[in-house]
Amino acid sequence: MPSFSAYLACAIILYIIGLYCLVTKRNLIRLIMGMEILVNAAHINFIALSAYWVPGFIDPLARSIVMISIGLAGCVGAVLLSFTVYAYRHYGTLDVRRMRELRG
Amino acid sequence: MFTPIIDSLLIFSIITPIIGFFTKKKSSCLICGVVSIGGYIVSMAYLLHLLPQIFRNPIRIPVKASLVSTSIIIDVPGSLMSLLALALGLFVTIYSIRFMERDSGTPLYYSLILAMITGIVGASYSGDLFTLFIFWELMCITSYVLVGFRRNVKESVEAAIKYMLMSGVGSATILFGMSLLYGLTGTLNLPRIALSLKAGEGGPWLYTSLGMLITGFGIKAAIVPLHVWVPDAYAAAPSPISAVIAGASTELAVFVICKLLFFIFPAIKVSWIEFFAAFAVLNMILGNIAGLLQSDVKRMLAYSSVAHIGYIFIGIAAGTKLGLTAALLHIFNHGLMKALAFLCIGAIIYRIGARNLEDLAGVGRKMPITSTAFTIAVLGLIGMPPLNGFISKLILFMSCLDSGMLWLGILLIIFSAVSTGYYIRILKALIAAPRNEKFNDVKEAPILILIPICCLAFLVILLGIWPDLILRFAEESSLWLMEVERYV
Amino acid sequence: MRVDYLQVIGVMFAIAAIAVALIMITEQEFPLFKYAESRTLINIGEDVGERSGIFLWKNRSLDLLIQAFVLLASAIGCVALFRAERW
Repeated sequence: MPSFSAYLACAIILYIIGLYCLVTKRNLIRLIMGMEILVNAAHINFIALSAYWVPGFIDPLARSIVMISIGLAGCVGAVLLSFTVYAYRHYGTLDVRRMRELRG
Repeated sequence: MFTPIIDSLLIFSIITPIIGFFTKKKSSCLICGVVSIGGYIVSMAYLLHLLPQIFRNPIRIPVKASLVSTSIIIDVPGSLMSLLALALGLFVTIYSIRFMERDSGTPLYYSLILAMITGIVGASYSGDLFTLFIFWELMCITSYVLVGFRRNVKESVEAAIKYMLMSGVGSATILFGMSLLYGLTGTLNLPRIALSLKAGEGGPWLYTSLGMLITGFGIKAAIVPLHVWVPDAYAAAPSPISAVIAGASTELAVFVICKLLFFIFPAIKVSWIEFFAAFAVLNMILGNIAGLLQSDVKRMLAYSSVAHIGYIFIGIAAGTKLGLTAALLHIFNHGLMKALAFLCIGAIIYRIGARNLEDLAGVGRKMPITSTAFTIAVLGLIGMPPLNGFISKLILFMSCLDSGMLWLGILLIIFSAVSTGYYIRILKALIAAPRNEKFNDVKEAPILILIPICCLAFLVILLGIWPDLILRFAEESSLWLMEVERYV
Repeated sequence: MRVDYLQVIGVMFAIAAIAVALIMITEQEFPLFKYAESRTLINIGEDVGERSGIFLWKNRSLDLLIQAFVLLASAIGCVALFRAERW
């Protein structure tokens, strides 16, 4: 089994990739995907921690948390996609940089 | 299941759309509003009934406290926050019966407000980090839909998308910070984490976890580099929703930050005190200076909200028990005053349809009760003596003197004076002579809109003349929040 | 080829952040469960899935109820967004 630091590095790299996706991409659907990547980084961290407490045993608390949290991330994605439909109807494009009418 | 405080809100939230399905469209707004008012009244009655018992001992929901189970602890600091949330929910629902009568889908609207208040009440009572997260997500998801409720208006949809993206990032960051904290202590139960971390020294990973939690909750609490969603979302939401989000949701985020800092991380207090002093100064500067540049009243109130969060952070940066008392007191008072201000501007928008300062000129003579209430709200926000804003700012200043940060107290006074600049412009616009004839047939706001406004104005004056009611509550809360041993 | 400056700056910041994170992970070892109290865990040899399920329902049942309510609230939210105007 690799050491825990490898899994922690994986989770942090995923988090940074999610943030990069949210900052640089233009299409609204790609931003939603970036947010899902961000949440999954935390999930990987939880699961890796549950496996490394005592070698040969797993911790059920972290697994329960991840199971519930996957449902929550799904709900957020659903509401975001509903708003994407209306954004497209109003602006005619999914480009976030065009949706800048509110200023100041 | 849970206590009737949370249960009744959940049950009414499910009943309201069912009843709304069976009523005709014309009267569905009124009937569903009355049904959902019942939910708030049952919940608040039960909370007030339990209040003497809560002051002696907190009530735990799984009665046997264990390391791994869900934990809801009905205690004094949580009751302060949930009382604010229930009161605001009740007033906003009465207000919406008249305000949202021309919108469609109002049974769903009432159900979503009930769900949001459930989230706020549950999050303020939770004793476990993951329970806090689930109630937090409930509040967030329903608030996204409520901000964008008028989905045929372009600016609502844009504001809701901007708000959703930033707040979603906040939630994911909270989850990552929670996982690091779980990695250090092996449990997510708040009193147990506090006891485990008390003895240890802070390593760099504790700081990372603290940073992520503060960033995540700080996006909702309008800390300065992360506050950019605030003016857009507060301005584009329907006015009762602006009142609830400004008065309860943002305050809940600041309350949770207080709870985490003083409960779990007192070991590294020296580090975060400096950060929060810096955040307080940034918030005050940006909130007040940007407020001076606005001409839209709702955006002005949004920036003033950012400035008041800065004042609350002064109390946190003081770090003592008096500072925490001052912060909790200002959370409560600011919630009431800001909600009153948003409800008043909503009443004016209901009658006139415009919200820029030039269009408001002279409306005060036609709508006297609304303008008086607006004046009371604005004077409270400035910090004038017989109102409750003065009491909380005074105690904030005293806590600065107490902990040796006199420069923060002086900045508080200076920026309160600066903020007078834009508040007075609103008052001047209200009492000016009417410039055009289109205000001739503007009457006073309808009675159902006036009732919550008058009740809130009465509360603002009452808590200013007789602050002892809330001050004792806030002192007791800070006592409980700073001593972890009482919870175990 | 049009160069999108924001993307280039984003990539540079992301690589810098990854480098900082990797240095931090290798220098300061993550203190794995340093402050933890011991409790019962599940052995990998036994039926992990079923035991995790039993744990979830025994200890975290209130969280599951609130999660069900969040699902209901987001369904109500999506219905509210897609409602017909005449209703």
